[in-house]
Amino acid sequence: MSSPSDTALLRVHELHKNYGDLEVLKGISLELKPGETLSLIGPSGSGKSTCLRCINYLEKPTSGEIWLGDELIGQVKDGKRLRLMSDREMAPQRREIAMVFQLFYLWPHLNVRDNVALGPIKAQGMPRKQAYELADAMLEKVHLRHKAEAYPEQLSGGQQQRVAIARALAQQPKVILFDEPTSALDPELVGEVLAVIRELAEEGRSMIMVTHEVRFARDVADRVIFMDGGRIVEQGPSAQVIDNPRHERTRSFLGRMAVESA
Amino acid sequence: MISFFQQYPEYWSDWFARLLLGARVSAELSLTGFALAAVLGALLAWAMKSPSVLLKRLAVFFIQGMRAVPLLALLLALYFTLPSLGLTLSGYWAGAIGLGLQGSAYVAEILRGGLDSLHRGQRESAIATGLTPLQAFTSVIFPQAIRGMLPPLLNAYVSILKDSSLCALIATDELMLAARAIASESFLPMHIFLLVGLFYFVIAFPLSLLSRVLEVRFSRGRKTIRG
Ligand SMILES: Nc1ncnc2c1ncn2[C@@H]1O[C@H](COP(=O)(O)OP(=O)(O)OP(=O)(O)O)[C@@H](O)[C@H]1O
Ligand SMILES: [Mg+2]
Repeated sequence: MSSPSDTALLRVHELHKNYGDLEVLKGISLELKPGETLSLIGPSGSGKSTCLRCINYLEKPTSGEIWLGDELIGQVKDGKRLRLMSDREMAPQRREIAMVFQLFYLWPHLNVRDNVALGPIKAQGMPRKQAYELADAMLEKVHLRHKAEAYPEQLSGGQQQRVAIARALAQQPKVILFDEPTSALDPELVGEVLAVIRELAEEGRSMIMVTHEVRFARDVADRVIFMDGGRIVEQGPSAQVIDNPRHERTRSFLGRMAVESA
Repeated sequence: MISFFQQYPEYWSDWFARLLLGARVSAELSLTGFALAAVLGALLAWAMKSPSVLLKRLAVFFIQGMRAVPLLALLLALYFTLPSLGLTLSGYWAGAIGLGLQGSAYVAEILRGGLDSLHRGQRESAIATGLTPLQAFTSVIFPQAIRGMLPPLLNAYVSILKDSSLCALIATDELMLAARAIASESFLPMHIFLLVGLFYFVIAFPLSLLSRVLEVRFSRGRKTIRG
């Protein structure tokens, strides 16, 4: 077992994931420093979502380790051996690793305020009144304080995603994972969500974001990782990877993206 | 035709009182049966959802079995065969258990269908927020799933209520047995069974209607419910 590094907040070490015979992740290692925004780009099917979902163990890695600070995620010492934690055991760890989904997954039977406050109430045992205050403050951050009483279906996609971001913030996580937060949105709604994410990056939140918004990744992310075929092909400062990619595969991917968005 | 209905005023008070007594037992019997079906059905649904293959197989086997056996055969077995194995049940309890066993197969399918109708993202977002699986179930999954389950559960109850009339054949003093008793005394079976049909209708029809109303309402979306 490797020991946690000093500077990294989150460390992914030699992550492998197989679905049956299909090897989807072939040894991913990466680090996220405190306050850093990391962007994960790559072609469809390259394993970006799988990688993200392995970080909070929504998918169980086939092998490898995830460290949050000096805490090993998803596995626990049982005698001398490591074993997988159950979902119940994992709840406190997942609370520290928020996730924003492509399709939001708000809870339709709860109004916006309850959507945001449920995590604090249940997972943190926060009194309802305090949780509502927290929820309202987080909704303020995503500029939706005035929608607190609305139900998710009464909101536009962009607003729903911003509520999902407020929900993630309310769990007071150390890291926030975004899986293509804007790709299910109508083009005219993408901007409002990206604006909120940009504000979070400027606040110094620690985030990993899978995205197809290459220009956004270049402007907002500190570093970019390019994945292809379950491997990291290239990583570095965002401007460098996107403006001057070293690898041919990165170049051709970025070229295709440029054509698509043109 | 007129003379047919002229019989009613004469016997009305006697019949009505006795049928009402029977109807009360039918209501209790079917509610007890439904309660058993609900508990057992929930266990079966849970078993079908569990990661254990053995549990899953057992649950499916039980459900298929319960669907294949005619209710009357089940009731007769519980009432007449169990005593030879040293377990004697009253007609009422043999009936309630028979209705519960067979009803549980339907309830289990309803519960499972209701749970399956939710997108798996609902549970994922709940546990990703730090909820335990139990909290995710009680706060996120169940409140949504129950909306879809309620109409078919009401229908399942109505089926159990109607099926409970078979318990007359194992000497449960419910509505149908009361009717048969009156019919054989009065020699007016047509009159009695018409009345009994009405009794069942009066209980079952509003429930069917309610089920339908709920179904329409839930499928229209939540806005109409929460204002
Ligand atoms: N549950 C699963 N069972 C089997 N194969 C899967 C499963 N989930 C993902 N895969 C496969 O794993 C590979 C990587 O999928 P993944 O969703 O991680 O890619 P991605 O980089 O996020 O792609 P996209 O940009 O389309 O979202 C794909 O080939 C996909 O078909
Ligand atoms: Mg993906």
